[in-house]
Amino acid sequence: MGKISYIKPNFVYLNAIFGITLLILIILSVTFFKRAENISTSSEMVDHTYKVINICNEIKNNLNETESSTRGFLLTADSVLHNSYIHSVSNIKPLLDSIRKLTEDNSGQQKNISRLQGWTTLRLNYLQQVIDLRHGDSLLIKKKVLQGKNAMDSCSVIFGDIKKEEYRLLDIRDRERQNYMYAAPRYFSLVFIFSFIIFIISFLVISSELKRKIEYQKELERKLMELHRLNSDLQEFSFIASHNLQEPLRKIRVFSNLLITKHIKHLDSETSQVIKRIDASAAKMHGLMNDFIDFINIHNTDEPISLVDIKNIIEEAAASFKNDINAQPFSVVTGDLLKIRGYPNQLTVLFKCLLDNAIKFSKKDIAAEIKISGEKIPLKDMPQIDANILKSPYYRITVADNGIGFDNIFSGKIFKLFQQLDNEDTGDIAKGAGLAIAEHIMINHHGFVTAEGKTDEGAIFYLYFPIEE
Amino acid sequence: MADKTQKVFILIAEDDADDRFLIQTVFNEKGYEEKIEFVENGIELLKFLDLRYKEKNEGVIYPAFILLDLNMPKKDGREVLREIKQHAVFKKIPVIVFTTTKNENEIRKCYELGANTYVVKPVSFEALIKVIDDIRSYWMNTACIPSI
Repeated sequence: MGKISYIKPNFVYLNAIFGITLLILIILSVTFFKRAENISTSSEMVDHTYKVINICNEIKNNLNETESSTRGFLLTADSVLHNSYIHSVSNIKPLLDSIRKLTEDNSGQQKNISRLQGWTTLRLNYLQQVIDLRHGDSLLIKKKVLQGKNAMDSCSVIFGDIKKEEYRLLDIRDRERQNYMYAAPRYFSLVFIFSFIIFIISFLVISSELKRKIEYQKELERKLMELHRLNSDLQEFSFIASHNLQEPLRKIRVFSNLLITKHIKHLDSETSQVIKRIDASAAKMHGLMNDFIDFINIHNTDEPISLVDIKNIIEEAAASFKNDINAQPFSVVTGDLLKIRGYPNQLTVLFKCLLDNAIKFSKKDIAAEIKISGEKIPLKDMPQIDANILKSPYYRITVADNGIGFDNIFSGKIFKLFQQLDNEDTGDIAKGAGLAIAEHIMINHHGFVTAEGKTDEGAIFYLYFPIEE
Repeated sequence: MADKTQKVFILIAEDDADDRFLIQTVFNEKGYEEKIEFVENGIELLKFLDLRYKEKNEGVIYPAFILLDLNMPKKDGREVLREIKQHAVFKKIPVIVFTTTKNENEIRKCYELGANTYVVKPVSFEALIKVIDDIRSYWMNTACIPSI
């Protein structure tokens, strides 16, 4: 089966594109908003200028109205005209206050308005004096009329100054507004075109990522189908191995044993030796076949996963050896262990394999001592694990013995099926499937196993189980 | 095949001639009183029992127990076991599954189907003698089963 390459989604690349695009769009939007605000402000300023000019005209009109009303009143003594005068006078003050407020950001205009206010007051005073003196000295009236005219002329000059300044400002503000208004559509088009380009690029990038993902998924589905097929082949092979191949082998053993038990007295020494060798070879082959079947059956489990008390599992595994009268003496010391999510029967087999290994390879005349302990291992302390892919920490169970150990150069080899280490002491017993089974049980639990050894000082097996926090 | 004159007998369903020979050798060796009857597949086994059932004679004798191989041609041991244990009369006959398979699922399934015992065929002649002797001794002398 080919290797499935892990395609890591390029999130850094996508995030960078998204971040830059978002930044540019924010800058463009803020600038666009500022532009729109400027258009609005410049329009308001133009309106403001017109308002100042209008108020200025209104003050002038009211002043003119006071003069014409005074004249009419002096000629006709009609109270309607006097009332009109009073009305116009009362209008002027609020208008002056209003224009002062509108131009408070312009010191030049404020000076003009102060001057205007002074001359307007003077002008109105003269008119009032003329009204008050209407039945008196005509010369004095004439004098006051002339003084009033001079005051009105000064007012007219100031009106001219105020309007001149406002028309100057109007010219500047109107140009500014037009500039902003002409630039707005271009700016809007720019934002639209840029957004459209970003949209197209984003679409292409996402589409390409999606295509990659779909291809990866298809590849995964193909591999999965292949895996199902291989698994089905393996099950078939397992059945053939456990029945069709076992059967003739069992018969060789039974018949050779039948010859030995029933007919040994009729056989010469050489023939009986040959038959015994056949029986021994068949027994060895039978043992290997049984180990092989155990190894295959580890994968064919329909056992449900559950929270398992490892201490109980170890006790159960140890009890199976204590009941075996042929087993060598041993002791197991177990520390506090966490409960682990796993397959109880498989975990029992796992500890049976490890205990069997420790007992089998104990030193001559020294009882095997097996110490089992557990601890949480943070991911940072596990260099062989990519912390970007796996986030959960591991729980490590250490199984240490005081047996004959092994040279560390074999630490990888010992988990291979039917591998024999170059150790004269172990002989044929080392050719088993126990540790291969242990390794595959750990794989079934999404964990792994490693081993350390020192010749004549014992072996240590580390079982790493992923745990959820 | 069935000998109506015989009294107690043991029925062995085994397709393999070698195994039949070995079992026969054990019986000869031990010199048991009971006779043994062999059938070679599931269909033959059911026919054997049906023949006796249809006679409906009071004197009809059923096997003391059946030694049943699982992997047989035509109709395998599992199907036969199911049919026997669903039959009103045959279900009382002890069925000892006698096979090479040690698979945990297979063992569980056979017990679910109603097997009385599950025995893995031994790998030496001495063990075969002991196993057959133990089975015979238990089902002939120790166990009490309701009469058919």
